[in-house]
Amino acid sequence: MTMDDDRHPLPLHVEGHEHGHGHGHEHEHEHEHEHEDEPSLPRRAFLQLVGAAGLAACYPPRGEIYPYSRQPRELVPGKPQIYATSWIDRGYAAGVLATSWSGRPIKLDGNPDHPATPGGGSSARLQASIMGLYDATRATHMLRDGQAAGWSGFLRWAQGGDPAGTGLRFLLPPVTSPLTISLIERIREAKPNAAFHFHDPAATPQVLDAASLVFGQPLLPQLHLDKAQVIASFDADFLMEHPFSIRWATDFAKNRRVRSSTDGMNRLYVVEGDLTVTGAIADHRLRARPSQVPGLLAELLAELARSRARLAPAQAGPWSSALGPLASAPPASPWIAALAGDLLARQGASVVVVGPRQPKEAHVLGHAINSLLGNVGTTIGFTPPVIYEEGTSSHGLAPLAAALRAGEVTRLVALEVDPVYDAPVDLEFAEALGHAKEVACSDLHGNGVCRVKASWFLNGKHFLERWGDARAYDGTLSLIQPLVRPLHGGRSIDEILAAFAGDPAPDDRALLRARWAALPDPAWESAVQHGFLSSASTEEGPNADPSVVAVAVDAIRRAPALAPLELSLRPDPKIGAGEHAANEWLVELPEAITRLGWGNAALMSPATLAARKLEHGQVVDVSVDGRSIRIPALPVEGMADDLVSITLGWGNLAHPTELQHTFRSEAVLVGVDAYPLRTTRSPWFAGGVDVTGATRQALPFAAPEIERDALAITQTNLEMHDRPILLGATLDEFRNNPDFVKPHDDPRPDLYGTPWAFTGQQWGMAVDLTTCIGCQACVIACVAENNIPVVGKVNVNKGRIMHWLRIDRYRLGGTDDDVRLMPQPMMCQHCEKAPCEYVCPVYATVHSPDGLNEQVYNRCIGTRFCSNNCPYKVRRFNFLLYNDTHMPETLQMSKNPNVTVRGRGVMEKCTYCVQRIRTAEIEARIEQRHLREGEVRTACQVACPTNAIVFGLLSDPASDVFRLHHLSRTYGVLQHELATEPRTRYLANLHNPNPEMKG
Amino acid sequence: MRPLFPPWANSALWAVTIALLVFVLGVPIAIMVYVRTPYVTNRGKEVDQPIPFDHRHHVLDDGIDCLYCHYLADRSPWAGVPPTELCMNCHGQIWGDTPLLQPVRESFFTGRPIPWKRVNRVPDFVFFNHEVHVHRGVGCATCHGRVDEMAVVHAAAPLQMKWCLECHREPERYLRPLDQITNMDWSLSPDEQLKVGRELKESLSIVPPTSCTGCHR
Amino acid sequence: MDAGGQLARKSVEYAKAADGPSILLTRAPEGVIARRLLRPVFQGGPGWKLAFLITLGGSTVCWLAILYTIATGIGTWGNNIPVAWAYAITNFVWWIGIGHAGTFISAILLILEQNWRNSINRFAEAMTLFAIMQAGIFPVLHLGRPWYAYWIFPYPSTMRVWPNYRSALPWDAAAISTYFTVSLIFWYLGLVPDLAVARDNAPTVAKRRIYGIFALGWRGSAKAWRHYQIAYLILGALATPLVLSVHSAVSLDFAIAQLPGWHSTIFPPYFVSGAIYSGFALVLTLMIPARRIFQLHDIVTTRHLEAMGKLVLVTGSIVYYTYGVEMFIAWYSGSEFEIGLVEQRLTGPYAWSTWMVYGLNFLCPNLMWFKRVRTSAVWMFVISILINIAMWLERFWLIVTSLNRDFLPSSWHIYKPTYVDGAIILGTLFFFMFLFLLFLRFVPFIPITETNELRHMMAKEEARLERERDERRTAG
Repeated sequence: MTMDDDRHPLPLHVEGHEHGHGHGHEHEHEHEHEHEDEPSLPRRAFLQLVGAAGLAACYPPRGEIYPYSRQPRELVPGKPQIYATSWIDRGYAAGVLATSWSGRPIKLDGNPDHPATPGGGSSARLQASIMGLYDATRATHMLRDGQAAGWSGFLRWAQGGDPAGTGLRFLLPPVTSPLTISLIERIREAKPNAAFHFHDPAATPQVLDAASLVFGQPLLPQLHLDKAQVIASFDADFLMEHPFSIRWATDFAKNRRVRSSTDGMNRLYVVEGDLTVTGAIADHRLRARPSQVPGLLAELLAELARSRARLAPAQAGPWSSALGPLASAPPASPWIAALAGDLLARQGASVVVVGPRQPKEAHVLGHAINSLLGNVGTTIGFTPPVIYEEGTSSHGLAPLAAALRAGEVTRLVALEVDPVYDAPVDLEFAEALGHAKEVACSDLHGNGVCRVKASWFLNGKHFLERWGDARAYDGTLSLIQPLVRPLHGGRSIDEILAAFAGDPAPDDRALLRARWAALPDPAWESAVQHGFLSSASTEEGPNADPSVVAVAVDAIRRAPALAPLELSLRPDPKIGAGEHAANEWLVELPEAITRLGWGNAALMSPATLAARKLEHGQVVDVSVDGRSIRIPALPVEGMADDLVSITLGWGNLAHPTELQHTFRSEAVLVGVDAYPLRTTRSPWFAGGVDVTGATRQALPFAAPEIERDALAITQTNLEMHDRPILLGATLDEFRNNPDFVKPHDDPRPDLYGTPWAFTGQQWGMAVDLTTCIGCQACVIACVAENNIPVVGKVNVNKGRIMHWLRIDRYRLGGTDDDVRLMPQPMMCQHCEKAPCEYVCPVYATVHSPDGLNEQVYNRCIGTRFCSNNCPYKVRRFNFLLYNDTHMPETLQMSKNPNVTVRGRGVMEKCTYCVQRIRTAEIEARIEQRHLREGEVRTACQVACPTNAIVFGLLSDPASDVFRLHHLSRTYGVLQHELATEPRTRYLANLHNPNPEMKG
Repeated sequence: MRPLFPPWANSALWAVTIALLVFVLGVPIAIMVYVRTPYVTNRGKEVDQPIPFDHRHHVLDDGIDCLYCHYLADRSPWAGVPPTELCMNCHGQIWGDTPLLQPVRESFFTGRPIPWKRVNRVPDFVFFNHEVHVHRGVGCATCHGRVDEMAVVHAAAPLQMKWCLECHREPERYLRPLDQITNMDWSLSPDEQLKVGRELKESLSIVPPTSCTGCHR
Repeated sequence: MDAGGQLARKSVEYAKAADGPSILLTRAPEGVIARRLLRPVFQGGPGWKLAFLITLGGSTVCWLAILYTIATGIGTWGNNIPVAWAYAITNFVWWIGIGHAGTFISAILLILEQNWRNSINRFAEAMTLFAIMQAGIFPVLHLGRPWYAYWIFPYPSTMRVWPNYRSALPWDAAAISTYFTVSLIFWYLGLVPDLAVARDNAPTVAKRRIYGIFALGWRGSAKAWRHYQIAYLILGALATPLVLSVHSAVSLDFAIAQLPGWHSTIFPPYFVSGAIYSGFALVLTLMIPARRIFQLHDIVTTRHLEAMGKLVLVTGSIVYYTYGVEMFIAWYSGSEFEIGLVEQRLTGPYAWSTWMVYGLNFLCPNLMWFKRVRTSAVWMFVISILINIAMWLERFWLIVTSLNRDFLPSSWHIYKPTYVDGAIILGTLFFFMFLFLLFLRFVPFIPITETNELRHMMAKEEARLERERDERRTAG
């Protein structure tokens, strides 16, 4: 077969001109593909499954070796390669470095050079997105009226129809890709009557509207949290639930990295109704229902108006007229007053962040306050929107639904959107869809649209299978290159659009290159290698128009109060508005605050729950004017009272799961679909909600943990019971007594010495509990790196989740009003005096000379004594064959070939990514040198956006980890009690309350 | 009344008792012996290949270095077998038409790999790195035996853990200078070997891993 | 109705009438006693067949559950992290504990020359044997990969890896296998003379041959007897330390851990006494009905009930004394983890088990203070069953309440057993009964020769008293 040199992606570490022929060739034919690795990696992974299960421990040489018939030049079998590409979430791009083994991507990390993922940090979603590639439930065929069909057939269909495009409508997800935009424009030229619609269930147009009001043009706020000393969030979970969260978390942490008692620290105020990741770690938190938030902003503005004398004249001047009337407002609550004081003290170094779900007026006030405080241009800047036609009439479903009902739509082309599932109920989209004559849809899974009506279904391409481009939230133009030839064929949005634009043989690589034809080859290749083209779009510090403020305040004051109970719908922190619902890694991941996996729940404050005589986990009916859903209730301390909060994205018919019982299994929906409660008019909040108990759970006996079994909760107890586990103090306490952790860190007198003579290089880890925000990116990174299996809801219920690294949450200080639920990453502590080691009868867990607590799967017989004796309970046991030896080949391909895939009946746990350590050591040995600082980084460390996890050589006094281990506030969990001498030490949590404020 | 048992019953009883004892003690011992035999380890068992490749000819007659064909051996964790195109480097010119090499040519032109049969295999939970051994003074022959004298290649080592540990615990007994790695008939008297080995261990600061994660991850 | 039967009924009436019970009431001639004790062996009844079939069925359920577990993995049980040990280990400790009564009776009481042991020792030894068989299932079955269980024994492997002697488990394995072997030999040795008696009384040639083979040509010559008794004593001396060592080893499976509730130096005596306590309970549970069915009131007399009752009182008291010590130490240590454990045991999700264990194990032994209870078969039977339940619960409680809430509250999790868990524990009960029925059917379960020996001694004693009375009469 002929090979053109550009068919394949460009590895980051390879010069542009010498890309091997491997990839283009490698995936030319599926059946060849497995013959070309040496030995075929899927097979190796498969054998490892059997191996650890003890079946393949027999010796006779078996199997065959398939060498390449032509050896690709840059590809050395058995060595990984790294490629830069981009990951798309809700249209926005984030930079990705993908690790690939012989053409098999197995691990994603942030691209350190990309603005969206500075330093290579990432999020749980980004980490998990690789699972989407190997997902066994993906659609594998192209269908024409339910029959397998061919691409050429579709091309013909696409070029058919009315030449002017009358009755032709497209429905697309939010688009930032210049390529896609150019294709849309080509179609509009060719078919003037064709119409385009864009749909994003989590869209918040009010953000742009507010900007146009205040600044006269639609603009996106860009935060610079590294410059902010005081941060006030109004219903904004900016560390977690935002397209740019990874970047913002990184910047936020920069001002919380306290090393010596002289270091400063930023201060975070959060006003919110739900308890979010951002709110849980706030220095001050005010419980308020979402509908109360605009009022509080007005209160804050009024408070600033009263003390406008203290404002820098530059700001005060133009505003004086607008502020005058506001000052007459009734005095603010002490909390707001204190906040105002703090903001005034930090003009130009503070920022007010307003949650995107908040109404336009709230955003207006937010902009006003930031302008007043002179933060615009320093801690917050503005850039033009990057989503195509955002804020115009082409966004939103209402016009399309109308057109459908009017019978104007003969051909609807819905690409990678599922309005049948996530459209507001009042549109009754499924019904409307029936009016279309023909519908073509594409998606990675068979979705609602194609279930209801699809003349054509085209299986889509995962982003690791396609070429393309997209813009990050800040406008950075990022490039997508494939790491593997599409596993199931499939077509990208661009290819499908190109078909309508009259392209005879659409091919996404050719399309992309053509779009950027202006670039000469070298520039193009280096861009592809580095994953992005341009830097961020330039920011503007526009002047706000004070006059709009009065109007907004007025509107807020006159807005009718929502009747309790109030309903708050929000995208799920794990699976978003539903776009990641098929990803079992994310589905099983316990939610950061509720620790709930495999579903969602109606969250309420304990008081609200008690007031309705409801029990923890009891199934309730939640109804808003006539529409209702049935869902288990779950109390969350620190939530606002009279508020019911439900996350979207669950209970999608397209993504059911098998529920494994003792003797049978049944297919069930995962979680509960909350979209039936959602209307066009009130997409996020609603008043007058009714919650009534549907059933009572019958309990064997009164054990709180048992009641929770209906919900797969991994941590049933958030209290520390006065045990020295997660230590913390305020910044001032720390300054007065830098050694406050010592009483808990000095081991009790001990009769035994250290059992090992620790010589040579020694490994250790330090976790900063101040900068850790509990986003759980590390957890999924660990899952991906270490082949950790998904065990399913029933097993999670039983307490058998396999995560080596978990994020515990504990109440730390705070009051009922102001809950501080701090995260603590908990993984194997690699104790120097490990309780697990001496109880193992067969030496399956032993200590290595460089201080690792080793777990030897192939020696383990599964007595589980080690787990019983582990005070941290970080060991995980394969109670069943979680890595099924008959798993789909795609899943086998997803396994990391450097880590044994564990079979049934063996114990496993965090190894400090020993495979990375040993590989680096081998390289160093071959090059006859010592390991360099930072040469070995664990998966969790790389993934952490806030650099809260540091791993390295304790034996090297110059290393970060050594420095951190010797800080005054570094301690070992249970060190005083048990003297286990853990190698993983924690930097005690610090928070920075406002002295003006108590509680 | 006639006796229940004939006179030989007494001796029979003793015989049975002794037999039982022998059985109880003997069976475990027999098993322990068995797992060390080539029946289990396949040591010395010749594996027929799809193409009757003769190492004697290529190494002794033609004097081709191991690393010419097995060029991944010092570059990758996997030693691997050469790609077909490498065979064709020579056999494109010589013996270009012998039917013996038909499979090679076929593989080369169709792009279908030659299904070589595996000779040495460790279980999948063992992460053996070929590269580092070759770079740290372990000669080919040390594990693979005198391949240059094998008409049909067979495994020369049992590849059992205790066999690995023999060298990892006392490398000086096996190390050789880095320029002798591919030398097939390089051998020293035990004393010289120990001397050379110790020097190499010193100069290359060789400390083979003997902790579990050295090989099991 | 043969003579033996009539004699038996008579002797029963005599036994019931007599006050100040003796350890043997029958005065029938040796041959008669022998025939009586052999009757169950040579004439099984329909009742036996029925019971046999029931227990056979029950055992089958057990084996199916075990097969299912091995095929699917112990995920079929309720175990989880943190509660990684639960039913299996509970059953193991319970069964192994049961066994101790047998060895205690056959070894220690032998050394202490407690004649009353003669009439019940074989019964108890058989029970020991079968209990160990049940116990032996679990250490292997509970493994994640039972097919590698042999790695726990020291042998030169091709991996050049040996077991870890710092762990309690290899010692555990050693202790159990030793215990089983010694018990088996002890039991068989005691059986030999009776097998000879059975051989001589067997109705058919075939049976005579079979019993003959196992009797090892025993003729009962004075020389043979002398050797026999020396051997028996030596074995007893060997077995005596086992009574203490085996369950001490088992207790170390817990005591060497640092887990609050397990980490305690009092465990060895605590476990041993608990074992003997529960063991005697089971002897009573089995002996009382057997005595009733086979009309043996003159051979297993109220004296035996009383003696065992007193032993239950002593050992039981040690057990609940330990409960007290645990609480005291928890408070005295001042460790929030130890105190937390006691709190959660008293109020946590498993509080019900705590109260049942404390309640029953305090009540049952202390009832033994009353002679009326000690001497009443009915009372003793009920109490013995309660003790069995309480002691099983105690092991469950000891294991699960310590595990389900340990150091880090974040990992606290409840444990709930599954059907399979239940099937296996009930199944082993059936399997035990199954083996026991075979024992009742095929070997004399009351030692004939020892009973005769006892009878002989007592007859002599009575003859002496008789003579003295005559002399006094003639003198007066």
